[in-house]
Amino acid sequence: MSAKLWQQLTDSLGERATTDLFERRFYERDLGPVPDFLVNNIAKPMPDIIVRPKTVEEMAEIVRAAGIEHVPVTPRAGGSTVYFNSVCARQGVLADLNALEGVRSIDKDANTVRVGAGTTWSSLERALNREGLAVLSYPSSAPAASVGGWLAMKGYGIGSLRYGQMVYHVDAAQTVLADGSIHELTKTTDVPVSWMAAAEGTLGIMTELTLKVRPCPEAEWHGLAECKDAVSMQAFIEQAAEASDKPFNLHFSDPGCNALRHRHGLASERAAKSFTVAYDVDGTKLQVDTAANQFNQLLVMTGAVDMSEEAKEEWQHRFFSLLLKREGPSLLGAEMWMPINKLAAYLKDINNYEAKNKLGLKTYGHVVTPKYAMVMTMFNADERNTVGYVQGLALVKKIHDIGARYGGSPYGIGLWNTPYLSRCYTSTQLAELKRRKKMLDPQNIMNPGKLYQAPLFLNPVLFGIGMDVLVATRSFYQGRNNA
Amino acid sequence: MSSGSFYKTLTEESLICGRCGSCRYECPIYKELGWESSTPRGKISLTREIFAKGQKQLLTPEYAKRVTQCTMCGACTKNCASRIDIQAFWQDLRGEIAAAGMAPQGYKAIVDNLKAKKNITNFDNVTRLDWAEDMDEVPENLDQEPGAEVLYFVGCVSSFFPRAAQIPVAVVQLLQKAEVNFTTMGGDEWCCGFPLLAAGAASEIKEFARHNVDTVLEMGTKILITSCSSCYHTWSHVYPTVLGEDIGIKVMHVTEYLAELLNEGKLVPNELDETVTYHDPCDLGRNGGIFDAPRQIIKSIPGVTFVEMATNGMDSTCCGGGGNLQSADPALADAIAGKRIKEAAETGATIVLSACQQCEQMLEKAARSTKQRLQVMDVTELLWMAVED
Repeated sequence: MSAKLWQQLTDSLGERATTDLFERRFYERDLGPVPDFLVNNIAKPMPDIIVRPKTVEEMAEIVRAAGIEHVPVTPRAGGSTVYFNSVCARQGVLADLNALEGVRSIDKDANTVRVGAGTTWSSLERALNREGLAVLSYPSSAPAASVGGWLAMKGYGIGSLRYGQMVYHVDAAQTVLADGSIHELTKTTDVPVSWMAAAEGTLGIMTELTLKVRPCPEAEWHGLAECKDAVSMQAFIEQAAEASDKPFNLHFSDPGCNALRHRHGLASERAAKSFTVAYDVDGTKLQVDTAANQFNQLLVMTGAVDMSEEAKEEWQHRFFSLLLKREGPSLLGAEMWMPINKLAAYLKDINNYEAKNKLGLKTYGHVVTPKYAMVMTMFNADERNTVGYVQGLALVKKIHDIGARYGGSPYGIGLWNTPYLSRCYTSTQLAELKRRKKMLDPQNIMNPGKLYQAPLFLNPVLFGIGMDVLVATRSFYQGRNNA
Repeated sequence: MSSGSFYKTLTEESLICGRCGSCRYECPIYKELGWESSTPRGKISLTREIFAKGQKQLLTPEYAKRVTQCTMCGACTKNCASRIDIQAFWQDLRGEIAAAGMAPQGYKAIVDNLKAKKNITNFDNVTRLDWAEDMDEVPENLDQEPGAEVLYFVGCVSSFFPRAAQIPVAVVQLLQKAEVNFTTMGGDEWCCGFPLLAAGAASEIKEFARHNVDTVLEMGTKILITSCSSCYHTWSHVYPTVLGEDIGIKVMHVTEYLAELLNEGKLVPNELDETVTYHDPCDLGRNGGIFDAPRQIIKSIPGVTFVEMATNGMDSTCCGGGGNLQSADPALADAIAGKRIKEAAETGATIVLSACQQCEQMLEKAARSTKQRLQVMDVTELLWMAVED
């Protein structure tokens, strides 16, 4: 980055721009503690400068100035993903979007809200609740994730089963494109807003969004089903997901996950031995009563047992999934998009893999469409044990491979999941994504190094061989306190 | 089952932190400064590198400054997805910063002063009851009356700062009105020790805890009330832990006790035509679990219109006065207070109430500096206004 660009950005943003090394260090990672020696061969995560724009005009000026010098611009708000989606791969400008926050306006007649893209979902929900409104869906990382960030990922989470993917709730997104132009993207613009969904900030930077919202639910109800095995759990989930009146949230946990929660006082001993399905509903009193009856019918139909006395507490803990780290201290795992009709078969294979490898695997997931769930299978590790930890990273690929046998593919690409691109997209889909990228960002300055192509070290063939070799090393050396 | 926090050691918790950032969005420091280094996750992340991975070269003055830029309000702990007791983390971390000789001068002054004077000021501790001179008649039983039913632990701020002196005056008059048999520890009251926790000198608090508990037990009093939220938190949550025992004293915040007196009909408020809002002190509300009692008092006063602030209860925003922030970065503390008083003004209230002297000092100063037409007072002062003949 040239001195001229640095000067231009600092002149324009004043104290909201910094090249201070102390500060820049904090932006080199997201949630994933990948060791330096692995990162540094693949990416240059240290930004040259961090900027914190407060307006779309400032954002546009940053992008224009960076574009003149072909300097990458990486957007980041919550920084709450694990695939380097919001970490620089090629240095340059890191645009911290958190200052683009707050509710701009609410239209109660139209049930819409205009909100800054850097606003966290929890902040938005709180602001809406004060006005008698609520969001249609939110990520399970709602206290951390931003509105724009979730759209830039796939936007599936709590509420998606009932109300659909986030992109369908977006009426418009004010967006800065790679040439620095400002656009109000909608469903009908030449560049439709849907292109921004799951583009991970590689096509443009959203600064404000208009979202559909709903009146605050009158009532809520929480059920918890104890299923005798994974097959029974799948049956419960499939029928609940297909029902005409779908729950707001349908979440499942395997005994490994429940046992850990029990060890930390967040689930009962009974839950610790069970496959459970949380069934959370809200709406009018009639809707809630109907859903509660439906839950009882599902219990009968699938042979599950009512454990709803724990349901409300589990709901209250819905943002505490990282509790699972407490027996690590690190956590490794695979987050996958998976058909729910293959869930039991997947879990059976995972169980077999666990029997052989004794990793302490645990699995939970959110059912987000009538056919698909976001499934997370994890195991604890210790990042201080470098060898064991790197071997653990290789084992994550094995979990992905098991998932792939059942139609599973990584949820989110970023940098680290680029080896799996062919599992996530067909060649036609990928060609279309690349066409959009070339059209909107011919200089490749918007969050480069992500999504479209694996870098050399993550080339699928090399990556596959490397990971297999690393896994094989476990047969003779497993590092201290094996991952 | 419990949804509580857990705590192992500074290094272990720094590794357990998932860096998810759930701690960010309600952090008053981050909301003011905006940089990732000011987020709880940022500070914890660097702590991991320094103390869990041995990169001592990263223990720099910039880092130490960020560690002290915290009000210890507990909003991060409330939201932590890994259930880390982040306040305990900050206490230990400040201990490490102090041990490395990188704590602000203000911390050392606090610790030295507390050791020498047993209170947070330079005043002699025997002058603790000077505030009572504001009363028309000083109650006979005020100073260490043995066998009193209730002991009123006044706290340093109310004892020594003139503005806050109106709070004990109100409390004492309310207790008299309700014919409660009460007393105080007079000059034998030592600071509860709470400032030591935030100054990286947690190990020093045991002496203060032992003295205060033993003095109260010797006086034969079984109920202790306090109008200071931090004193309340320290007595109820910290003392049993540091002493490793059930202290054998029922500790109540004064709002809890006054709410009981109202329920029993021992205090009967008259009508007041005021619109008020209430600021939950962090140590009383989020960290102490007391939300209802102050509101019950306010709502018991006929004619009072009560309006909640945008953030209230468990989600209440800090006033900026906690965590010894004033001694480390007073301008930052003032900026946080300025935001909170603006939030209070947006309710349309003319009076903002709290139940903590420190909060009131911060909010009153902020109201003055931002020229908000808001009167700041304690819940006990409002109740006394309503009860006074």
